[in-house]
Amino acid sequence: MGTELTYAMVVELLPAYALGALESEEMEAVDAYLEEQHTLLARLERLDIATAQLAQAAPAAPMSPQIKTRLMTQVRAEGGSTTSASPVVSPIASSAVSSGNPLLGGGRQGRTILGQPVHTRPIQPPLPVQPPLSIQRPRRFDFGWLAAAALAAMALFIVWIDIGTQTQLRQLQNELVNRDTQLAELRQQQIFFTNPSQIVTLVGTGESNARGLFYQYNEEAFLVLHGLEPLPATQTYQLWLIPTEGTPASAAIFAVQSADESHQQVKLPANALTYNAVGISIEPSGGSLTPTMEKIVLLGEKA
Amino acid sequence: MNLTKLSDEQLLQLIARRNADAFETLYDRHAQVVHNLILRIVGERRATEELVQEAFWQVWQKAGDFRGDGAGAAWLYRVARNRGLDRLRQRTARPKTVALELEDSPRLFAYGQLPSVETTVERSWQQQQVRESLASIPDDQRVILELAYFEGMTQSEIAEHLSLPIGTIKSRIRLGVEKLERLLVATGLRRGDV
Repeated sequence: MGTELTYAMVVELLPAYALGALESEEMEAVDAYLEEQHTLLARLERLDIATAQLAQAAPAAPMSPQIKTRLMTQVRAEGGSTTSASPVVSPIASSAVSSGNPLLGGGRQGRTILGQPVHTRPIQPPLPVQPPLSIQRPRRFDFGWLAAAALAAMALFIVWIDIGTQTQLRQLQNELVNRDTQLAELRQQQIFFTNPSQIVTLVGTGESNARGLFYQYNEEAFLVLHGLEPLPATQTYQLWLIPTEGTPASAAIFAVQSADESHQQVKLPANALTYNAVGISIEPSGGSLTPTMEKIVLLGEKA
Repeated sequence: MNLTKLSDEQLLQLIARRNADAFETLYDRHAQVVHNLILRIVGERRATEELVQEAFWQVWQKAGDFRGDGAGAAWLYRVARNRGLDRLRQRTARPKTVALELEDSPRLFAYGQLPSVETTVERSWQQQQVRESLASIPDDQRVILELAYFEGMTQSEIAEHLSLPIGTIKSRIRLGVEKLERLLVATGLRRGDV
């Protein structure tokens, strides 16, 4: 094949090339053509992106967290560094990094409990050996006071350590409670994604670039919204369940804090579950009885 | 600099400079899709775990090879797919189906390793878009795309497998990929979303 290929022929072959479905001889010929003629590289990039999306069509299956643990251990051991300019590394972690062995990849190997480094006291050098007593009688020194002072200092030190340990323990317990709460919420939300009774894709209307997904599970729904702008206090977003015939039913009113992403979990009205479409409109604060049609910002129909 | 805000391409540049945090961020973002893809190809959990690890290790070692003239995720998925297809070709036979065991899945996650809600939802949204796009491609084209992508078959192998003329397979692949491209653009998936 080689140099016999023309521009038109390569254009025809590119989709199969991007998919990796050409015979090896054809692949080599297209490779050779693209090395010399760069005009089709942009086209190939778009096709590559489209075919790569097929990966996301593979059925979801749970994966073991140990894969990540093993990989990250391997990466750190091999010399992976942390992000030097990154504020995502907490000050505590940073101090652990700076005190670590640079040969081991930035001190991540220090002892930690739930990500918090455990500070240990440095080992004290041995006390110097006392010189032998001279024959002359030495001045007497009252060691009683010294021992008492040492005992008092030690007691204070133990109290201080105890307070510190208890504080750290309380922090860890709080963190554990927070993580338990977070885990419970995630598990509760997971049911919407793993076993939804209905999914409706919401698309921005008019010039709106907003988008979203409406996951229904029984009489509840979880809304994931991108690109909805925060509204002034005088307005609110209102969720509508729209039947094929009849009046749309209000399902919730809500605000968003950021245009990046927001989530809403809502209880759906039991008498409106035979909807055909889902919409979100901008309404006056407190909501409306019927949607203001020209202010519907997101809309989607059941598949 | 918050690494989660960086694009895949920017993360790959940092990984090429041996930044483990960037690698971890990229892993969190794409590991589930890579895992699903490899499992769909090889059909065995144990082999899948091994290959996911190998694929990401290859990314760690070869991130410098990413030329930056395409989507980082597309490059990553290609690495993973090639790993899966290589394993597939080494075998003479393989299981045809995969038990998903979704009911048991929550226990597989550990503290600190749960993907964020944002990551889960974004992935879910993208998968939904892709599935909807694929569903709207005519069956005769979709089957061929799936045979090529997940089974690694060439056009002539697909023709033999489906007992169809090679010309038919070629035209269906071309139409199917082009339609997929148009649908994905229409649903708003941009380059960075891949």
